[in-house]
Amino acid sequence: MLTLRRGEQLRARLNAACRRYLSVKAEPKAVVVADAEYTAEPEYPIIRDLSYKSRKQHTASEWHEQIRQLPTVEEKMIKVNMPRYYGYKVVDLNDTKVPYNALPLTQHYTRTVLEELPTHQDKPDGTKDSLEATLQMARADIIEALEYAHDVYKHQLSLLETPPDAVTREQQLTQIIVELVNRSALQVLSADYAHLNEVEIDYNPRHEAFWVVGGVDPPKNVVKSKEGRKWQKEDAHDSVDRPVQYTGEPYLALRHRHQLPTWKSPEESENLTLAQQLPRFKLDARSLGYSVKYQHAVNVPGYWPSANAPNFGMLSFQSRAHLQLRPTACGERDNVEALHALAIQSSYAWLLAQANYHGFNTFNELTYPLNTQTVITNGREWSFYEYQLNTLLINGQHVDTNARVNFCRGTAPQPLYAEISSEGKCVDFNDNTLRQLLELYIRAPSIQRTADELLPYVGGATLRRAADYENVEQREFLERTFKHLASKRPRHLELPEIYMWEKLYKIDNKTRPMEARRRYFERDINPWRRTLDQHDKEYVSKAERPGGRKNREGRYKKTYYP
Amino acid sequence: MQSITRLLSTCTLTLQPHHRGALSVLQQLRTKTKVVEKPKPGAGQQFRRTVHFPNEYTVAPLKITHLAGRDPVSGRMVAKGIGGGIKQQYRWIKWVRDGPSEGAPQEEIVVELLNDGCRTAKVALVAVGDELKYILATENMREGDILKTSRVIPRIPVRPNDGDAYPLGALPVGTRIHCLEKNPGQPCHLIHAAGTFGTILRKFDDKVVVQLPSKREFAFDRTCMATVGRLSNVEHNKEHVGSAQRMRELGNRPRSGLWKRKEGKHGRKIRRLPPMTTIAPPPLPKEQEIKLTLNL
Amino acid sequence: MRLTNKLCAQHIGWHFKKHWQVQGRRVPRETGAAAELLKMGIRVKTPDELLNKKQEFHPVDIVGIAPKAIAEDQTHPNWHKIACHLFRDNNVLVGGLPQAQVLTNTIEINTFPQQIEDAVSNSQYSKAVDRNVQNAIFSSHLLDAQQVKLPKVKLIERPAFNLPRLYGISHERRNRLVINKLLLEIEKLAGRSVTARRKLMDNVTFQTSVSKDNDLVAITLSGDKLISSSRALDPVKGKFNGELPDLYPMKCVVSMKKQHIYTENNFYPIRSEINCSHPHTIVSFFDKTIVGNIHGSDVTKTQLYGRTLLKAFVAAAARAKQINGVTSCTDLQKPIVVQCVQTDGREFHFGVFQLNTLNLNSSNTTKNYWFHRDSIELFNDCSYKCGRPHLDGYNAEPFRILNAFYHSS
Repeated sequence: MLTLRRGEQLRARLNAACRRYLSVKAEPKAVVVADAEYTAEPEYPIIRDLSYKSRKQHTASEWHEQIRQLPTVEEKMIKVNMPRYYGYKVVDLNDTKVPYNALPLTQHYTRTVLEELPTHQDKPDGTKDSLEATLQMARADIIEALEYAHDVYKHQLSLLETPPDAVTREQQLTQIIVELVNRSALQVLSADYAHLNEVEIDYNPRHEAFWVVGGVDPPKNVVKSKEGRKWQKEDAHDSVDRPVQYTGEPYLALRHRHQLPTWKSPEESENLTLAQQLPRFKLDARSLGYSVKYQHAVNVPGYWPSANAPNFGMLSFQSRAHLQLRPTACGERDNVEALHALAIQSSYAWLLAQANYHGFNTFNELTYPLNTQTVITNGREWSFYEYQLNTLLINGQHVDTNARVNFCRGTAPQPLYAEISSEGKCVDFNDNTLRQLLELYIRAPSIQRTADELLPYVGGATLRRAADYENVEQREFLERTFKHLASKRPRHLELPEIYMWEKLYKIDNKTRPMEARRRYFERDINPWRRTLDQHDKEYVSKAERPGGRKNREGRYKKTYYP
Repeated sequence: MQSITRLLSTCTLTLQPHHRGALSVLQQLRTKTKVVEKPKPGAGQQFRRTVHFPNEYTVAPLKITHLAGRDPVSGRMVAKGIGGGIKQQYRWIKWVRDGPSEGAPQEEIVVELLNDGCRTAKVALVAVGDELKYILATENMREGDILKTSRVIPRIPVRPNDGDAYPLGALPVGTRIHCLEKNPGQPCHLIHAAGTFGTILRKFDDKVVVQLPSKREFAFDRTCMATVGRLSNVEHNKEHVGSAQRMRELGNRPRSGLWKRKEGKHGRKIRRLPPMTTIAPPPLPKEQEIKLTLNL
Repeated sequence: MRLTNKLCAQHIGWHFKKHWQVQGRRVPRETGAAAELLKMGIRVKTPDELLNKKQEFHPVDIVGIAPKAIAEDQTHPNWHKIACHLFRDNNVLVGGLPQAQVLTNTIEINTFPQQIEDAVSNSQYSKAVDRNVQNAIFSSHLLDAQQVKLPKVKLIERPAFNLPRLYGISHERRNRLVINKLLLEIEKLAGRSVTARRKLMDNVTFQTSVSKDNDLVAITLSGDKLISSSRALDPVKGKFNGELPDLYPMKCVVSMKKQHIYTENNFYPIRSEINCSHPHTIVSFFDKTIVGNIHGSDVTKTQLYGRTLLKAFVAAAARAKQINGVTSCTDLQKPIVVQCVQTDGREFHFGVFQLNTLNLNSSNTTKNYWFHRDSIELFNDCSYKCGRPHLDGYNAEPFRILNAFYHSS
């Protein structure tokens, strides 16, 4: 298969060269007429490196270009999934587990520079008086909300015979607190800050993102296989790409129609030395405790692509309940780092998913930065982060050559209050924490871009989403396929597997020569090469068949895979 | 080499004679035919499904297990041609319509008429006091109807409505009835299938003669309870199954192919109906039998 | 085969076995020997008593992975001699609204209280609000990205079909989102002066037990959203008269499960010492895969209405008992008013309940009031049609009523 394709490529290239040569030969007169086409210096076409490695890179970049050319967001997503019927083998990052020492991996996988901000102890000098006034107003509201949440939740728990475990308890209580605090903040601030009237609130939205990271050491079997071939021996230890899928469910997420202002200029963001100083986690992510699984690439910022949804994230509230499950041996420092890692992962993933709805993805670079703000909280401890997404290119050689980096800045967790006393009163309320929280709300999304600037890789004014197609069948197909991929429904066929007895009696020792050879390893089929469109097409019954009952062409429904 | 092994084997065998005995016993057991007793079909036991009845009466739909024609005790095939079909839920009918034995009859209200997949007639959900129960629905029963139940036998027969339950002695001659108690107090009720009914023909002594759907006449005790009216889903016997697949959905497997129309073996024999029979009192409980063992 | 001795030979052992299969089962006849022996003072023993002695096993107390289930019999700590009728979230009253009325001693008034009616009819919204509400419907019914396995779909006319399982937004989440988004829109309109006096809480439980004409009824119901206010709702002005419906021959506790194991708790989710503890509005969701008749039928409209009434009643009663003491079952000094909304995301049923008395006996002349209108639909259909989101038959009335409910004080 591979050799065949390769042969076709070579033949095509040969043909192209011949044609070029012939055309030059055939039109000597034209050359005479168009004198201006001549230049003093001869301009030769680029000489392509025909080594195996560069050819591979070339086909990859061609594929990336094909993705870029596709008109709609849904089609781009399907196109990314086309090569794999069973989905990619992805590193499973999620918001329910951060293993020990996850920060270097997170920084490598998201190409993020982390700036730790000191926690404010006193009132900063530059704050406006108006903010102080609203702060005082919000203070009473939020204290009341906190006391109310604690009291009601405690009262509800008294009804249960067996209370839920500590993690669930924290999640439930924090969900109540976050919703109440958010409600109070919006009520207090929306009078003065008009942008808060236009935010869309997502409750426990589904945040998912898929990207590909380069610069990871190859696994042992790859090294062994390459070392076994003479012509690949030198490249045996070249780094490989790893697909990554983040899955998260924040308590709350706020979205707006406009973008948040950036806080790093383009010059600051483009810094190769800074990029090369970033930690590089070359080992397999499984060595830390992350798991891998097969799944399709899914990019979801909490909602499906729609005509005029508020497309830019403003603020998200993440859970830290899983910290309770970490062993105490991890230590204080690593717990803070775990929070940083979670903030970076969740912010990056949410922004990547948003960028995906604007036509960018892990293979097609952003043309403008995206910003978001993230809060990680358990009701009492709050940590605040800001994130600026400048680049998405981390795959392949970009991990070494890409000069752009992403930025995250944030604080260590700080308490909003010391405790809730036994009478249900809030003790030692921390104004600074509240001030920081309100500042996140106050920061107005101000950046507006024209549609062309916003969606450079998307079809145009009339064709942005699958729903814009004129062909009804195509619209339905794309919508269904897109949702099917995103639903994580198991594939119709099971994952291919060689059973142990087969390995013993069929592969290592050929003890069953009389048996029919039906399994893929006996028929030289690589099931992992199966592409997304290699499935039985949907049958159209004779009664509904276009072109009459006897029409053989219309027997199966058309597919519109990009 | 072989001779040595043979020699050794005989040695061991002679040394341990009781082992050999145990071995031979095992071998015998292996080839011995196990005698399995299984019931005969057609004796009132059904081999289509078992219903998992709870301890207390409930109107909640009950779970069933398909038997596919097998005897649930031995697991052996008894009835052919049963198997598969759509899993239905069973509604537990309260067969005994218990009413006051003196005074005004008890009144009940029909709440809802339901289709039950496990039987052909419709089922009515009936409420009385704080109790809900299912009974079989009659042809003319409607939601909101008031049903009467009584065990009183007045001197003049009552004028009953559809769905009312009275003793046979209280009903006028010519009444159509169903859910007829075989003997007073015996948990056996006749006439259940969709659209069927029995007719009260005459009365003598303390017996009442009823013609059953089979057209045979039986004399029942006058205190046997019966429900008035013809059972619902009258068109059931006119309905066509429609297709082989529908037959499978109903839980029936393909026919055996042994039925021969023209060979006379299965021919129709028209005979006169037997004369009126008096219903025998309920059989006495079977005596406990001892199973003696004989080890031959 | 030739007719020889070999052919005619019979296996005597086989014949014995066959014979024994029949003759091996015996019913011992009563000969009177046992009685004779007993007369002589000799005890008769069965062979089993001597040969197969019954071994008594003492169960070993094993510490398992889960705490052992308590036996549900008279040894249970919550066992009571008098059985109680239990009503929980997944049940409905088979008699529908009339049964709920009799049970709660309530008369039905087919309008809302005057001030709410006025507020509904006087409300005027800009186009932007309408658009926001429609966007809220879209984002909760269609555009939310949750994809979970939905309940099985069966075609009634084709029960043998196994349809492909659908993935999508779960019913519970859809309802939660639509209510949250509508309330957010209402709070934006209301401004801080009103919203500061309300608090929202998700997934609360109400529990109360009442006695009705010698029957004990324990009700445990959940409110999927509770709006509490800092001031109690004012009683509805005016006097209302009406007759309770007649359920004969049913009793009002029919279709409630009767049990001996129960607790006579009274539970109101917010302690009375808290500032914002008065019940204002209860929003409850209706999911037909969870809520159903005890006999497995679909829930009818009147049963749905009855459920709304019971939800409102249990909240009001739990609150009244929290204030006046658990044992109180008399007329209330100050009536408690609770508004209730029940929705399946599309259809909304609104009602206002006024608890005048906790004495539910039919002899009591004071009745509770239930103001409601028939349920209305927020829209006809909201789905992807031909690959495009599609909203059909949007109706602003539910939003207006919900807004009026939120504002009423």
